[in-house]
Amino acid sequence: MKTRELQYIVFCVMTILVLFAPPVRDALERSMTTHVLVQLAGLAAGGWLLGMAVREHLRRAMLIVNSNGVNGLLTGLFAMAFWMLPRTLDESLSDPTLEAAKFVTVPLLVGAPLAISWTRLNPVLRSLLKVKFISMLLFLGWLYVTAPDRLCTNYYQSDQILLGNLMIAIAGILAVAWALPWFFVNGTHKGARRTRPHPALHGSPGMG
Amino acid sequence: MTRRRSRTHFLSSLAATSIVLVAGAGVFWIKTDGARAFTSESARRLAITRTPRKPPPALLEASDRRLFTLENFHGRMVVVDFIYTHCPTVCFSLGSSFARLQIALDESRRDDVHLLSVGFDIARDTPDALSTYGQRHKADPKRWTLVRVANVRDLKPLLSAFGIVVIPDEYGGFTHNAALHVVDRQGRLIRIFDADDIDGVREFIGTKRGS
Repeated sequence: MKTRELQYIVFCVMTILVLFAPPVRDALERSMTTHVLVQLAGLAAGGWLLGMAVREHLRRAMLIVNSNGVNGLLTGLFAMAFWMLPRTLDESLSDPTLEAAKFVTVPLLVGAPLAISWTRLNPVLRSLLKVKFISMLLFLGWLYVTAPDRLCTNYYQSDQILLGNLMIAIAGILAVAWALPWFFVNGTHKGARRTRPHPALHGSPGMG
Repeated sequence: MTRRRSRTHFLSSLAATSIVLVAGAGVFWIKTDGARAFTSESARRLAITRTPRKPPPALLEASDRRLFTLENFHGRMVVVDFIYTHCPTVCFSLGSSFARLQIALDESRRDDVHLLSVGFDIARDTPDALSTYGQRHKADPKRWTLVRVANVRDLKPLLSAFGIVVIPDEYGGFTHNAALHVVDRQGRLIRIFDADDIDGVREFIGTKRGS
């Protein structure tokens, strides 16, 4: 195992342990905004690190069950959808089993499979997923801001609206961050390389 | 050889896909009660509709300081809401819902239906405060009783049996899931309606006339 992979695993374990520590957990779960944007996102990020650490070692197994990355992607999306339900958010506060499941399944079923599968996915699909992720954030953000009622019985409506607005802001930031590189591509450089004529088309200069 | 191998990988991945799809959709389906309950509020209502629940016996203290329990209503249907008398917003709308419901019950001469408002802010929902709240909404004592639990230790079990989550808010008040709860003649919670769904309650108790 490489040093970098070990570092990923250490970071992953530290992230999960810090988020699981009762004082941190209680503080983050007091607000819907930090519950989602810090705790859930942090757990998924921890899982992503784990996925990056084990990616190379699982190559053969992945070739068999996840050859094009789609199965890992589906696993991640299903698990994400599960934890995006207002109901599971609410119930994890009162049900210790569900709370424990959150700390296991968000890293292992959301972050890790997505990281393992990301490099296996078709680049077009990857771009599509980025766009889908932005549109999902925008839709949920809009939903949280405009919903007439609270979606979680344990959180204030003002909290829900704050979360919605932050999700919309994050969608905006991601959209800009992902689109920005396109404006700085050195057109002539890359274009020149790509449109270099086929050797067969080269005439013999000086012979015409 | 390589072609056969990639073919095997494709097939095994496809098999894995079906497992992921079935398991993922299955878990999601179960957790949302067949895509019917995405929030805990809708889950609570669905659960009550499916399996009516009898709330635990709790000694209640009315605004006229009489003591009684939910059992005393047996033989009558009771529509229950949960309030706190210092509430400026949602309980006020619950109060006006009950006021409208009271008028509707009078008009249809439903003497077999009673209204019960339960104050959960034990410290401030004194009999006097409840009585003022009742007067503000023109509560008719024959039809609408306002109470708080007599013993603090009965509050939590009562709230959780009804599925009410109360969280203190930034302004010294509370945020809670407001709804109209219908308790049948056997004392079981059988249906939950939105706080302003007077028509829903009327229609529902209309089907239960004399039964």
